[in-house]
Amino acid sequence: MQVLDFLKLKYLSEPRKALRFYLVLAFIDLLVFGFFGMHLAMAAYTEKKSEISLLESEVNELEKKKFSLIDMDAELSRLSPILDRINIAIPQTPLVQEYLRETSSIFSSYNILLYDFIVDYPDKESVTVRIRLLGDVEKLPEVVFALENTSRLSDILEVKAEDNKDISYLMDISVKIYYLDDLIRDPLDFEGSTNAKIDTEFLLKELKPAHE
Amino acid sequence: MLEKLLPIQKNLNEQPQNPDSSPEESNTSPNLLESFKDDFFESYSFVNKATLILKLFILILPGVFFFMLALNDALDRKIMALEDDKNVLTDELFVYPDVQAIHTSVVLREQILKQVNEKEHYAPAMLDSIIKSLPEGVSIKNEMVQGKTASLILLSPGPLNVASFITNVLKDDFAQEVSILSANLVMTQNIYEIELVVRYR
Repeated sequence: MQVLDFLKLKYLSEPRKALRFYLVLAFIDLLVFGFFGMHLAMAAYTEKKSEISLLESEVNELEKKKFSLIDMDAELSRLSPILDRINIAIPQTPLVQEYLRETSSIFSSYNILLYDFIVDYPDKESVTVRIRLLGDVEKLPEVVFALENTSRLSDILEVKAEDNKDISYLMDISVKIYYLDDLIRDPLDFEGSTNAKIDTEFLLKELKPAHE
Repeated sequence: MLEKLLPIQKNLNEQPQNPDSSPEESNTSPNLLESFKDDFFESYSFVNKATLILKLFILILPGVFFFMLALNDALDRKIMALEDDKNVLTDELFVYPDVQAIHTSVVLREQILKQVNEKEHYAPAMLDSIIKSLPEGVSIKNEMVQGKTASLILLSPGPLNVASFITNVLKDDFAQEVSILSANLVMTQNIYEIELVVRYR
């Protein structure tokens, strides 16, 4: 009966006993919900907040990358007719043999004899080629013009011509050709030129498609 | 009946005579307020207020706890949504596997192209101008073109032919100045050897 009375909480009708009861209950409440509950919930909340901010920054970064890739893809689509020409103009390796083949055909078309072809590698981006020719000096401007307009990006450094009494003129042309050893990095490695834009107008103007 | 109170009355009369007695014992005033003790737990209004506050505390604390649980649950959902977004975006990025590499390579090549294009390419025009300006009888012994300057050694039968060459070169607005460095008569061949420098704009 006493237990039943206790469970009926009859003693709560007595204010001082009720106060004691609620004090104990409040303490248990504080212990259970306050310390074990809210304390852990707060810790989890703080952790989750920082995780969210980290995830949000990652998602933002990925979105930026995505938009950047879409822009890049659009730029490359515009350049698709001349992409091959860009890679021929500045290949990944010096490809001197290809340059020799191309220039030889130019010289033979002008009936000029290739006398010397000396290659020097001054840095990792260019090759200096000293071409010595024997032939008619009057054809020199056209030959130099043709050398400037090969499929390779060329820079004429120096042109010399000397009267060779025995046969004809000995012409000495120094040309700098370029290459770029850009090994493919991680495709999604965005360090470097993420924000770099391609001047498509410039490239399309400089490297017109072959059929135009 | 009232006689029963007499001993007390007697005591009341006697008390002032005892100076060592404590103040509490000496409190014989008929004023009941003086004997009031300031005990909060005896005050019903305080007990009621305290009980009410405790009840509120007991109710609010779990409320806050459940609110925090709901908040954590919402954050969990947000984290899951963000992770889904991240996975979707990562998958989308792999749709463009080589775009970044190709773009970077094109950008670098464009920079080189621009650098080379910034340089002025005069060599063919200069050579053309020199060869077209050569009058009858004058030939080139030696020629060197570098930048905007052409150095020449001409072989001429007479000084007038060289003067004609200089006039022809200067007719072209492209040429800025012609300087004669030396002129020698080669006696064995009866020919003039003239060293010139032509500067172009």
